Amino acid sequence: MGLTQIKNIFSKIASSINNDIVLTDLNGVIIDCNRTELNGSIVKIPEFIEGKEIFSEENYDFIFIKQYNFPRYLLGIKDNIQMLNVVSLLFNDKNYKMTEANFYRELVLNNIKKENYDELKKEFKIEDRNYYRLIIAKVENSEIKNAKYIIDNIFIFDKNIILDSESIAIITSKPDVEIENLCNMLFIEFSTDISKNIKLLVGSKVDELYDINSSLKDIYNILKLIEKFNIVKDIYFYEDFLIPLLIGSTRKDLLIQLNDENNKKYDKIFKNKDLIYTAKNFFKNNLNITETSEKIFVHRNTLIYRINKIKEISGFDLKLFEDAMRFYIILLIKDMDEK
Amino acid sequence: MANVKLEKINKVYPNGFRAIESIDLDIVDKEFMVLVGPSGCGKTTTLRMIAGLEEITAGKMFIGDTQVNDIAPKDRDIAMVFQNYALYPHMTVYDNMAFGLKLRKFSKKEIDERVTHAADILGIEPLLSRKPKQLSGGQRQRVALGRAIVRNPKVFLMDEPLSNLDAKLRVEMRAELSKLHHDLDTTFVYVTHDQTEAMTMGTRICIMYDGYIQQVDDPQTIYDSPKNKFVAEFIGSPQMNFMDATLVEENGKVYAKVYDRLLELNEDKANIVKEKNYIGKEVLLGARPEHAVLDDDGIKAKVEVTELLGSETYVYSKAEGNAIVVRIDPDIKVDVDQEISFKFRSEKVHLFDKETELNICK
Ligand SMILES: Nc1ncnc2c1ncn2[C@@H]1O[C@H](COP(=O)(O)OP(=O)(O)OP(=O)(O)O)[C@@H](O)[C@H]1O
Ligand SMILES: [Mg+2]
Repeated sequence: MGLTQIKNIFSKIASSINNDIVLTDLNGVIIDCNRTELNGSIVKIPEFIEGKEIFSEENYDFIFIKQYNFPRYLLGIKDNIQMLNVVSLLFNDKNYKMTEANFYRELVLNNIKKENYDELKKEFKIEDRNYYRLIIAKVENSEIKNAKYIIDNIFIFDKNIILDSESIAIITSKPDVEIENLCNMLFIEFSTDISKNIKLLVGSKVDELYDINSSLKDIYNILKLIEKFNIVKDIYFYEDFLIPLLIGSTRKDLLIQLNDENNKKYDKIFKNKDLIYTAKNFFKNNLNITETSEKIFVHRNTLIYRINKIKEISGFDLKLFEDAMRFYIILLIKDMDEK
Repeated sequence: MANVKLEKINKVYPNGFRAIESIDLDIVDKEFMVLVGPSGCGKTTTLRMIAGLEEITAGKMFIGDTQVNDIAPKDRDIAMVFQNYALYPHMTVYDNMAFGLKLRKFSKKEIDERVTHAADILGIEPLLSRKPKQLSGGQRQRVALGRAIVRNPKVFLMDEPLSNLDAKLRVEMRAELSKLHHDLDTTFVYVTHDQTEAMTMGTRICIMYDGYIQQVDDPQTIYDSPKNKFVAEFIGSPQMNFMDATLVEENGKVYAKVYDRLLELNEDKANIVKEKNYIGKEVLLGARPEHAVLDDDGIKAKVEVTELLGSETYVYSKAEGNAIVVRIDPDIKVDVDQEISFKFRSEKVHLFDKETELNICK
């Protein structure tokens, strides 16, 4: 049963009873009710509602309305728990069938219990792979069909599911390089032929298909980060955000203190545009002198001179992986702080 | 008409980074314009603004007579070829080329005509039924170009399309791209950080640095009359030599005094430096290695390394501790630690203002 259908049934009930009745999402945001002034507002929901059949809060009693067998909405009614029980029966979706597509969808959304999972996995004959990761393509509502068409053609051996009206999830086990190539293609094809409003996010790897939801959670974390720091890219790779995510999860006061110390210690480097530019590009080119000097167009001797200069001032020898990593993080904290 | 015009274009990224600072660029219909410059100078950003993939912060962009600032990429009549080109692995070459047209709902007949035509131009008809895995690197690159050609665009935009190829193939593809440009007779805008690529392919080159355009000219003019020190240094390999020089006037003649030697300036240069009040001032003298001539009365330098290329020899030397590279005839033998003495051909040297680094005589 889809939301429209649920809303239809709800409005019929709402108009025929006198008690206050509300339809909300799982956070208590009112989607529909029979007292129009409440529309869009929030009713209070107890914190732990999972596993409960029916629960009460303030004057309302609530019951879950399930969509595809999973709790999606809440039906609340004032002062008449019997009526709530009866009314809720009208929402029973007898036609729901767990298809393979539904299985993947619910899996991505973390709606499948482990014991059911094992059964369904057998039923759909799903074989194990080395790892799994999720790619989310976010597009405008009106372009979701076009996006799906391209994705079907590009990620031909991977499952993809429409998650909501603006996002498609792709479950893939492909190697990184291939993912990057295909995502690039998808981006270019979509943005030049359909619309440039597309965001591609590649989540973390998980070992078990059952855990694919954590890949989705990581994508949500990237989304938060890119909004906070106004980062715009064609493709957002989880790995690219690993260190920013780590830093982001560190205590703020600690970070500020650290950055203040760095500002004092490395003032001479921070104020030298050339040194910062050189260091960043040296990281970008995998600590390769020849490649970096070619790309940023400075003589290799100049490059070596600058790298030595950084060593002289800070003690970090960027030619060494460990030192490079530490200095990389210092610069990252500095950049994040500036925003 | 498919000229591309950038008027006072600025790009500030959402994170506040200023990538492009008020650039003006007039790309003429049917020309092969190369954008070249060091990493981070804004080449890709500029190309993506032309493509419509990147919002223009300020300024006006025209393709043909149409202002395209608010026109979506798909309606701009452009086609792009990127460094990370990829082909649909499970589709044949034919279907790879046809895919974009299918998305745009072209008729089967039209698609067939276009794909056949593009394959003909690229000489890949025999490959049409193959899958990408069965193609060589160069063939794949051609298919990637084919995907752009079938669109029949007014402007081709290419971002380092050859950088993933090995050196030999890259040289081959350069020639092929030039030929393709000739055959298609449309506007190409091509991004690279490789000056050799720029010099060999561009009808004109736009040299960028740090978000600004440094110079736009044909390759020869860029080479012969660089506008500033950056351009002079960027183009040419081995690089131009730079030396501190003082301009002096004696008996009506003007000389550049370099390493205590006097180099007489030709009349044109002499007049300009006099007019611009540079007599008695310190300037930067730039001279390309191939403009050196051995001369007993010239600058003395100690040989550090010689590079024998057969048709010519480059001598890497030091004069008063500063590196100078000169090109000499391969028949002349020089040894490491030997002292050589040379002059630069005065009509070929450049004078740069020490502060602005602008070419004084241009
Ligand atoms: N999405 C973005 N958000 C913020 N800054 C960006 C973004 N894209 C590019 N930049 C910055 O803008 C500047 C110009 O980038 P651009 O990619 O145009 O350079 P480029 O000349 O193409 O360099 P390269 O030779 O490395 O490809 C760089 O400093 C880059 O870090
Ligand atoms: Mg680039």
